[in-house]
Amino acid sequence: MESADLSKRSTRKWPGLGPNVFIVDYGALFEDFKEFKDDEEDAAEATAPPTQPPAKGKGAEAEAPKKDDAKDNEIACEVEVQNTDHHKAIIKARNEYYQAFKDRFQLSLAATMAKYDALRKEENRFNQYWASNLAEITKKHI
Amino acid sequence: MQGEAAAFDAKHTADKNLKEEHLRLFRPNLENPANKEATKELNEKEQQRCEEFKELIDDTQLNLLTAEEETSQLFHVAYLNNVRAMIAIFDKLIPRTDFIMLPGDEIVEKKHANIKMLTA
Repeated sequence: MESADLSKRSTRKWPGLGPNVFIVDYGALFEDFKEFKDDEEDAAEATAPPTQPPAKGKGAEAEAPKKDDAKDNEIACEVEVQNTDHHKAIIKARNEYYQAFKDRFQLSLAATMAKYDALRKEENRFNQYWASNLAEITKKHI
Repeated sequence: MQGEAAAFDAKHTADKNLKEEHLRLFRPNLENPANKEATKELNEKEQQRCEEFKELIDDTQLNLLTAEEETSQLFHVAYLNNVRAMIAIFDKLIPRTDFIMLPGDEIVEKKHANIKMLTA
């Protein structure tokens, strides 16, 4: 079977791109959130998440991908489509633009973190400078 | 997101001016015990400015990250729906190669226009 011509198959499987990466891990980015994250994880382990009935109506479409993340998600999981040039083009475009947006997302997060962390660091440095000078000045204030 | 960043930049400029003003007032003459109250007051103002600015940094950073995440989640949902729609559409299309040949569909070779080309 392995020696069979793959181009003659009616369908073809394409690997998935992995779980949704567009989630900010606040616990990893901020020290203050670390404890909160640990508490949440403990709570999640202690109690299993309740199963929600499928939503109907306006918001149903938006909710669908979250529900499908574990399986049957055309981005995250392996997908089997017809073996045509059109389907191949769809999957190649899916991979290319998903990767492009993923890179942009990660760059944007890194830029935001870098900019505001630098400002915070500078503010702390100035505060220390102020405190040391103030200590010098107030020596004579008895 | 741009509005959030613009609002921060405006507040940052105001904060910078206030910081420079505090630095200007932070003179060696405050060493004089007579200026004890003035020093205390200046220090309180500076500490308040510092706290407020740090809070502003925290809030802005968090808001920007949240906005980025929310926008990206929307993108993810839209992208998934788009991929599904594309697959569904192309599943229904009949490729050109699936059509059978009918009499008269043979590929007709283009004839040369000039006999000189054939004899050359």
